[in-house]
Amino acid sequence: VRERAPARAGPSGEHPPSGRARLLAGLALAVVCLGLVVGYGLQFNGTTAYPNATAIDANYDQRVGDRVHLWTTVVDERDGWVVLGADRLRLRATAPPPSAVTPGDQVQVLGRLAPDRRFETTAAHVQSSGRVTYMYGVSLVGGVVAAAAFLRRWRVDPTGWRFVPRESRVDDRDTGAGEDTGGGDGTATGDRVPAGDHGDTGRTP
Amino acid sequence: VTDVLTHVLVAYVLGAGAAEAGRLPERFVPVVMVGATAPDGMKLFVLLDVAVGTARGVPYSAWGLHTVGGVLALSGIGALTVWRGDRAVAFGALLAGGVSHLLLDVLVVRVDGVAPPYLFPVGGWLPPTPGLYASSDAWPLAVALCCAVPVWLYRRTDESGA
Repeated sequence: VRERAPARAGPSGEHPPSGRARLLAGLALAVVCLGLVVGYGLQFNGTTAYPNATAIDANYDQRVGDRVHLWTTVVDERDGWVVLGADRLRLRATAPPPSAVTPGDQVQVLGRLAPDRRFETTAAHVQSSGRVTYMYGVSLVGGVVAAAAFLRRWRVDPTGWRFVPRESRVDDRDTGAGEDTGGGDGTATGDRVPAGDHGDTGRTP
Repeated sequence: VTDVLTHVLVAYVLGAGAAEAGRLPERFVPVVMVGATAPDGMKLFVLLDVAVGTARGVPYSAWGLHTVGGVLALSGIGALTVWRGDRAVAFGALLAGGVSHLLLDVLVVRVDGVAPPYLFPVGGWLPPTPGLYASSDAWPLAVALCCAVPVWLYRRTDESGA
């Protein structure tokens, strides 16, 4: 037998030795994630991909004439101008017109920084605050759907701090005994557990 | 940055297709769906308004996880949560879901015509985007539903008939 099924992992199975390896691998990957977060910030914060509105605000006069792409929120409408905000930066934009937006809407703009905190818009895309709320609501449903679908096929094995399939024969694939596709034999009996899976807990009579 | 439900449904269709073709064991179809949610985990930081900034002089951006590198690392972490025998396939399934997410996000409207550097940490290439939809548009979800619901119904009858 090349690979042990969780059913037989037991005290001498996957853990503790590879449990520690798993923990170390997890920590290493967490460090990689942190590296990606910092590396991305180093490489792209303040670039055309991710302009830094606070930095633009602090050095506005030097930045006049720059072509920038900003993700802003409508904060006000004044004297026929719409006022866009990103962090502390406030700009009176030539577009969209105040009639096309309401405060709270999110506006993606491309354009040029002009004197007196004016923004000469060349392209704009508006997402109303209602649509943004819709997006987050639907996204929450998406997360629930994915989690529910996953937990229908997998369950937590508390003895090993891991997920194991709910199917009764997890080693079908390893032994080549079954294809495990589309048969549906594992789904109707979602609560069946791998035989003897709790053998090392002493709970099985 | 399409809504997460659209990503999950598209991943379902992809996973179900692979399962029907005999290329993916059934139990990994929802793993592809979970993988498709992973890049948007960083949206929590966006909601809290702490996604991009500088800490102790070090610039950071949680968008670094919404990239190929992030998908690889998160898929690795996800794969470690399943029992050893299924880890390799789980990793592949999570990765497939995550990559499908990034591909869909390349099509999102950007007024400057280019998507973010999703290939990070590989270079800084900004892929051109056709700007097909915004994250808050409803029609991508409608299209995804029109694909996913028939697939689900087909597979459900297939299952009960077997």
